[in-house]
This record gives sequence, structure tokens and C-alpha cells, in this order.
Amino acid sequence: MSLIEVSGVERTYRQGEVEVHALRGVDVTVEGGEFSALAGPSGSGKTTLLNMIGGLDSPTAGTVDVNGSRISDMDRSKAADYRLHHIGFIFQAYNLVPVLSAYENAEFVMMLQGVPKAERRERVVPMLREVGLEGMIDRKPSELSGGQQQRVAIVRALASRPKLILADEPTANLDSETSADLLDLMLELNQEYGTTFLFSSHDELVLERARRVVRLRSGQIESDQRDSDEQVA
Amino acid sequence: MGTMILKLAARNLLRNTWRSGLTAGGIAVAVGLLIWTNAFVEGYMAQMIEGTTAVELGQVQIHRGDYADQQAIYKSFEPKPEMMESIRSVEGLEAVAPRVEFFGLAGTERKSQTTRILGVEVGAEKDVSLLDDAIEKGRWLEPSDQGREVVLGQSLARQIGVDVGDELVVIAQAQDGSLGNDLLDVVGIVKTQNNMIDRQTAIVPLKEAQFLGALGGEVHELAIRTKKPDQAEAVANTVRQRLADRRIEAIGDDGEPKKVGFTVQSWQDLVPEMNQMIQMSKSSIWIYYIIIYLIAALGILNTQRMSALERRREFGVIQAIGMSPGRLFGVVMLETVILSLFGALLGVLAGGGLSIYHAAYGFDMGIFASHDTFSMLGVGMSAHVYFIVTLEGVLQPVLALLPVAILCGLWPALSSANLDPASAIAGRQ
Ligand SMILES: Nc1ncnc2c1ncn2[C@@H]1O[C@H](COP(=O)(O)OP(=O)(O)OP(=O)(O)O)[C@@H](O)[C@H]1O
Ligand SMILES: [Mg+2]
Repeated sequence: MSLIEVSGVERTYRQGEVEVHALRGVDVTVEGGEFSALAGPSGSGKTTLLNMIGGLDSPTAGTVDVNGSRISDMDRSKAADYRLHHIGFIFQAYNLVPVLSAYENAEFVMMLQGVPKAERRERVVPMLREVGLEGMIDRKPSELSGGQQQRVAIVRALASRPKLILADEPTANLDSETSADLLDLMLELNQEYGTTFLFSSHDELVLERARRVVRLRSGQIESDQRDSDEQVA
Repeated sequence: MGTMILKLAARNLLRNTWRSGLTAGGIAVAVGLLIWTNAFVEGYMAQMIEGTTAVELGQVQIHRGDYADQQAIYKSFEPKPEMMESIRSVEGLEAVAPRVEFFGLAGTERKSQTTRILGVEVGAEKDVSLLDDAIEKGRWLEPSDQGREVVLGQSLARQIGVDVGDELVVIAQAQDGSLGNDLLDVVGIVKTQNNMIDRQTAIVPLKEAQFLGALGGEVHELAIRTKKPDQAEAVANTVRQRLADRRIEAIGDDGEPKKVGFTVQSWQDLVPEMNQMIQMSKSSIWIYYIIIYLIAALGILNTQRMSALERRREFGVIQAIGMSPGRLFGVVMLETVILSLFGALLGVLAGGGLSIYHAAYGFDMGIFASHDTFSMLGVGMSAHVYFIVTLEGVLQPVLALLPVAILCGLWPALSSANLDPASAIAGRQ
């Protein structure tokens, strides 16, 4: 069984009288350990699809299974609990809790999981060092640069060792050099921990680094390319 | 985890110190004001009770059973030593004084006036009433007095036209129908703010009153002072039980012999209008609570709603990374509760402190009254109110605040817990 199985997913939003078809029949599977990207123009449905996979939104039709669990059927609390234990999330910006330090933000998910303090420290401190945040762990998010904040968000997502990390345009607010660095870091962690990464972007420089790029257009999959440019779907 | 929620809540409150401080300050003012008001009302009421009871009334009075229907000089009884002893031993009782009371005429050759003759046992009376403290001129009665001394109410003395050192003729119909009269020396003038005493009363030693009324050793009234004013009803109940089986042989209004018991009344029974007023003041304070807390609630609700709305995105992210809606509800709720408790603590310190100050040094109501003392329902009141701080008076406003705070926190907490994380993160409503 694949780590992610999306089949026949449709999502229609109602805005008063108007119906917006954000996704119109998406089928996609992602295997464990992949480092894949969702690409496509603005409004093509990238965020919507990532939200479906993370259980933040429910499909109008179709099903989403993650790690064998039908997340598309879960209620809010169940989905939150599922994310807590199996899925890491990274967003575009303002990911961090402003009143907590970099260290406290990084340990936040494990804290929610009830991991003991000593173990949290043991895991978080080396990882913060690894992403280049040594000496900044007591800083508040407002005292960190955008790239540094995203690194804290990555550590937060990764420290609890989820199977899957979903990242919605994690580099959108960063310059291209910082973006490339961040992607390299994610790839490194993907290899080191075997964590599956699925991220969205419209930045070609970023997409270059993905092992697989799934392109969306108007809520449908337009293409699905693996590393060697060979067509898959 | 619990400490984390606490840390989050506390830091979130500190994030906007100005706003949190203002809200906590508002709560503090509300709580402090209520604590201060409670202590004021408690003190003011105690002063009213004291003003009503201390001058002459006492907190509990005992009469012959038929005395209340129609006061008459012949409705007297003998205060037997063992009966006095059994009353004196009641828990909470401070002192008991026998009195004789009837009406007669007092005056000079030129002018006379209907007068209430009040006979008091000089030693015991000092412990029960404040009549001795109300001396305006001359002196109070002494135990060594020979029985010819009289102390007059101020207005009465002025009306008759006598002063300390003058002689006063007193005439009264005795209980056997004979006419008693005597020539007394005015030794003192009292001024109490109590109209009955100031305008109508002549106070004489008990023996003298018993002589004038041909009462032998009998009296009309036993006045009791309790250790604390709020013990009046309890003491009255105990005394009532102890006197329940006692009967005295008496002649009824119809001339037939009959047996009568005793009536025991607390000041609440004796001056029901005062008691009613006190009860009303105490219960109407709830309206005040409601108004103050309604204003406080608007403040709390507004702050917490604004701060929750500002953090929609943050709450969306937190839920996306796995915080359950229930926990988020707890965090936001806790913020409101901490803010309210902090405000309440400030209020307790400020309101309690000010109340303690006013308990020690008094609060001058001179701004409301033009005189240092004024009369209310015929009772003399000092414009200086000494507050009484009770645990209940301090805790009640705090306890009443809690449900208000919880109600105000409910809405922001629920809306934060129920937000749609996807929309919140995207910045949509
Ligand atoms: N909650 C919603 N209500 C109404 N319309 C929505 C909602 N969420 C998404 N949409 C619409 O669905 C479509 C897909 O949106 P989505 O955010 O998934 O696109 P995207 O590919 O992530 O775009 P971008 O690159 O700009 O982030 C858009 O037309 C968007 O306006
Ligand atoms: Mg998007």
C-alpha cells in the first residue's frame, strides 16, 4: 500500500451563488520516502490538495488515505490527532507561535504528543544545530529571519519523526538563494530520516530539486514527472 | 503539557501588555469597588443597628406577655434573682438591666410637660445602653445617688425651662391608682439624636421610679446587650426558651386574675422597619453587582474577542500541526480566567486595602451630609462610617466574577476552537 492514496477527489466550494471547482477528480499516490512537489499556477488547487491529504479539509467526492487510514472520513478532533502523530506541516510564513522561543516552537509538536522534556531536548537541540540555528534557540520568531523561521518550522515538523511532511509553498517568502538552501536541507533530512516530503511551489528553481513533480491545472493533474523527465501518469 | 498551556496563556496575555493591563485594571476596579461597597454597607448597617439599639433599646427586651398590647404601669413583674441568673448565663449575652417605664407629668410651678419616666439600675444600665455617654451637661446618675436625682432629655429640659441644678416636680399615677409625686434635682442633660429620649424622657434611679409608681420591687422591662449585634436573634431565642414555662399571677384588663408569660423580642422584632431597611439594602446590592459586572463583562469580552480574532491564523497553524480543538479551547479559556483572576487579585488588594483603611480611620460621608451627625428614621447616625471587612464581603465579588469571566471567555474560546484551520491559514473568514 502507498503512503498516500488520493482517488477521485473533487472539491467544490460554494461562494454564494457561485460554485468554485478547486479539484475535479484527482488521483495520485505517493510512496514512503518520496521527495515530491506539487506545481501549477495560482488557483490550480495545490493548497486544496495538500489540505485534503492533511485532513484540514474534506473532499466533496472521492477518498484520501494516509498510511492506511481514511483521513477523508475523520472528524475534526480525530484528524487533528492523526496529524499530531503522523503528519508534519510547514506553511508559507508565520508558521511559529510568536510568544514561544525557537526552541519552544521546535518542541511544540512533541510537547503536544506528551514526549518527556528530556527526550524533547535531546532531539530538538541537535536538529536546531543541524539546520544552522545554534545560538539562536532562545530567540523569539520576531528576532529570526524568514529563512531561519522556516528552519525552525522544519525542525518542529520533523522532530516528532512523522512519516509524512506536507509543506505548502515553504519558500514563497524567501529569496532564491535562501530557498535553495532550505530545499537542500529538506532533501538532506529526507535522506537522513527517510521522511516523505510533499511540498508545493511555483518556483522552478525549487521544483528542480524535487524527485517528482506533479503539475496541477484547474483542479486536475496535468502531468506527473519523475526525476529523469519520463512521463509516469 | 499543563505547564505549556499555562505558559502559552500567560505569554499571550503579556504579548499585549497594554490591553491586558487595561482589562485587568477594569476588573480590579469592579471587584475592588464591590469589596469596598460591601465593607461600607456592612459598617453602615452595623452603625444603624448600633444607633437604633445602643442608646436605649438594647438588642433584646423582655416584657410581661400582655405588655405589648397596651403598655400600662400595672403590667410589671418581679425580676427574681434566679430568673435573672438564668438569663445572665445565656451564651452571647453581655449584660442585662431592669427598667421601669411609665408616663407622668414633669415640670415647675410655671410649666409642665407629659414625660416618660425611665427608671434605671445605674450600675447595670451602664453595661447595656449608652445613655451615660450621651451626657451633654452636668453628670450621669451615680450608684451612690440617694434617689432624688434626674437626668433630662435636652429638648424636654429646654421646653420645661429647667437646667442642671434646678428642681423638678414629677407627678404620676401609680399602679394602685394613687398619685405619686416627688421633688427631684436635675443633675444632667442628655442629647442622643433619639427623639423619644431627647424630647420626652426623664431618667431616674430605679428605686425612685418604683417609689413614684408604687411598684415595690417590680419592673417593666429587662434590656439585654449582646456581645455582638448579630447575636440578637440567637440570644432572644435562647432566653425565650428559658422563660417559656414561667408564668406570673396577674390581673387582666377586665379585672379578672390570670396567668401571663413573658415576651422576648430582639431588636428586629422591636423595630421591624429598621430590620426591613437593612435587609433591603443588603439584597439590593445585587443590582449593583449586576451593573458593575455587566460593564466589566463587556470589557473582558471585547479584549478576548479581539485577541482571539487577531490570532486566527496562528490558531489555524496550531491546529494544523496537531493541537486538538479541545486543547485550544482550554488555552483561550485559561487566558480569560488568568486575566480575570489577576484583575480580581488586584481588586482584592486595592478594595480590601482601602476598606481596611476605612475600617480603622472611618470614611467621612460629610460630602453627603452637612452635619457631623444626622438623624435617620429617628436614629442618630454619625457621618463617619467605620467599615466592616468580612471574609464573605471580600470573597463574594471574586466568586461572582468567576462565572462572568467564564461566560466572557466562552465565546472567544469556542470560536477559536471551531475555526476552520484551512481558511484561517489562508486568511479567509
Ligand atoms: N475556502 C474556499 N472557498 C472558496 N474558494 C476557495 C476556497 N479554497 C480555495 N478556493 C478556490 O479554489 C481554487 C484553488 O485554490 P488553491 O488555494 O488550492 O490554489 P493554489 O494552487 O494553492 O493557488 P496559489 O498558488 O495561489 O496558492 C481557487 O480558485 C480558490 O479561489
Ligand atoms: Mg496555495
